Amino acid sequence: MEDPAIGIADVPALGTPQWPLTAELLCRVYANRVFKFAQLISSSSGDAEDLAQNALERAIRGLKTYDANKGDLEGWLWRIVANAGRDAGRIARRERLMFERLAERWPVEQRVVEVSDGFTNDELLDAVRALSKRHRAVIALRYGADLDYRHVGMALGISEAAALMTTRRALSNLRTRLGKGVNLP
Amino acid sequence: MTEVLERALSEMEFELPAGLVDRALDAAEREPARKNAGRVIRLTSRTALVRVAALVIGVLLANVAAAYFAPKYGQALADSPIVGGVAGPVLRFSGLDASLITRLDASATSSGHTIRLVGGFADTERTVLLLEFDGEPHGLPNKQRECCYADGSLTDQFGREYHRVYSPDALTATFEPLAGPARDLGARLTFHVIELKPLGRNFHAVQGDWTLRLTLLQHAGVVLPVPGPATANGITYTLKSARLSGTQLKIQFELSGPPVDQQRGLPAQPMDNRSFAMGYVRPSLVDAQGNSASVHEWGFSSPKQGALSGGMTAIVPGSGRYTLRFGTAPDGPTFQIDVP
Repeated sequence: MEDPAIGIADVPALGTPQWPLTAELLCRVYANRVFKFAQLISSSSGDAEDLAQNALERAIRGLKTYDANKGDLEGWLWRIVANAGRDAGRIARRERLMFERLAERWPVEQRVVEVSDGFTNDELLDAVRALSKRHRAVIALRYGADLDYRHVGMALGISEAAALMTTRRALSNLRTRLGKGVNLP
Repeated sequence: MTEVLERALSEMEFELPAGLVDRALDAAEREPARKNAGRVIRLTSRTALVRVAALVIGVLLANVAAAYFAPKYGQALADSPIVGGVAGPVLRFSGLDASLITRLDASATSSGHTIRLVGGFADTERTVLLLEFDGEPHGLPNKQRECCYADGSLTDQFGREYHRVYSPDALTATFEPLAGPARDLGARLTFHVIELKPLGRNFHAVQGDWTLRLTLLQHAGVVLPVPGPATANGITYTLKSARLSGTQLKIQFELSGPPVDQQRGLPAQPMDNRSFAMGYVRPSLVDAQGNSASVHEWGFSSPKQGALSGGMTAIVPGSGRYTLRFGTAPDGPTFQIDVP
């Protein structure tokens, strides 16, 4: 159980009669992505472990409520995971959601920064954890959970366009933290 | 450059912690109703120790154990309650009552910085630690002078970890209310700080290892009666709850009706007086003399269907009748709330 060996591509129709959605199968397929999401969105590895466990628990308990006719598995699962993150304080709470909806109105910084391959995973993780909660959330969902922008938006309750713009903004901040600033004329 | 960064993010890998999936499966199976669960803590059995202990030693051990795991029992033995006052304006800013604060004096130094714990408070709404850094008195939040946010964990004697919740004053570290056995027996808490995150330009992030220990007993929060629903401008406003913790008032509310349904399909609006949020939701609270209470935060979530749910946190200066009003639009609804 601790070494999930099944990838998404191996189970294209999870939740169908051919591949009934069980707790074990759900964990084997998604545990690594849930944990990577948790690592990126939490401020410490201990918090990440707690969050990943809590999110998986919620998903397992909610299996009975999943209905493939009402929506895809990815959207259902990552809404649960995002809610677990929100309840744990890793994602800005609802009082800040209204500001997230304005994300598409924010200008992307006019500052372009060079980033080379010269950083380690730990440096990158530290830089992600230094981002704001909003930016950590989109980075964790986009690159930790490997979701497209439509599902990032669904998980956070914002539009696809807002998810895209917020992610661009987060990447811009991340480049600033990692690289050497170069101001374009 | 973006491709390099995005590729690096996509290719990051983390080893799944041993036992994580099994713990999740076990917890989901054993405790279906548990909410916001933390890591499963397995306590070591002490059965063997009990079997070999002599009766007298056992009684002594029981007293020691009871005093440790049940601070209420320990305090009864010592008959020395430890309550006191901490700077009034600082407490009032966070809605705390000086008479309920437990005076503490614990400090830890690491990486050249000292964190001192000067007071604590716990009730059924929140758990609060009052901190000082590097000998500076705990003042009101000041963007020019604020140093840092203490990032770490708060854990009780039974291994339960409490999540941090928002507080307008970073030095008034606020967590979830005590739960489990510690809620009834009293909590021996460990606040383990691993990083000081800068809040202003005069401070840089510092990692270290600060451990502070304290004991807190939980007081009861106050649940206030709420008036019935009111309809204004086509919206029905329903107060779901009003809870008082010290002088901090938290109100949960719901909005429903045609204007609520219509705003769901609208594009994002700027936060001005023409927006739905400002015109029909923004709550304000005034006392009988017309003085505004300080509203620290408010907000709402708007699901795809059903009522809009929201909340607000305000600091009330004292007891009396307060008027809660929603929105800046004319004829907005008002509610009367009596604070004891």
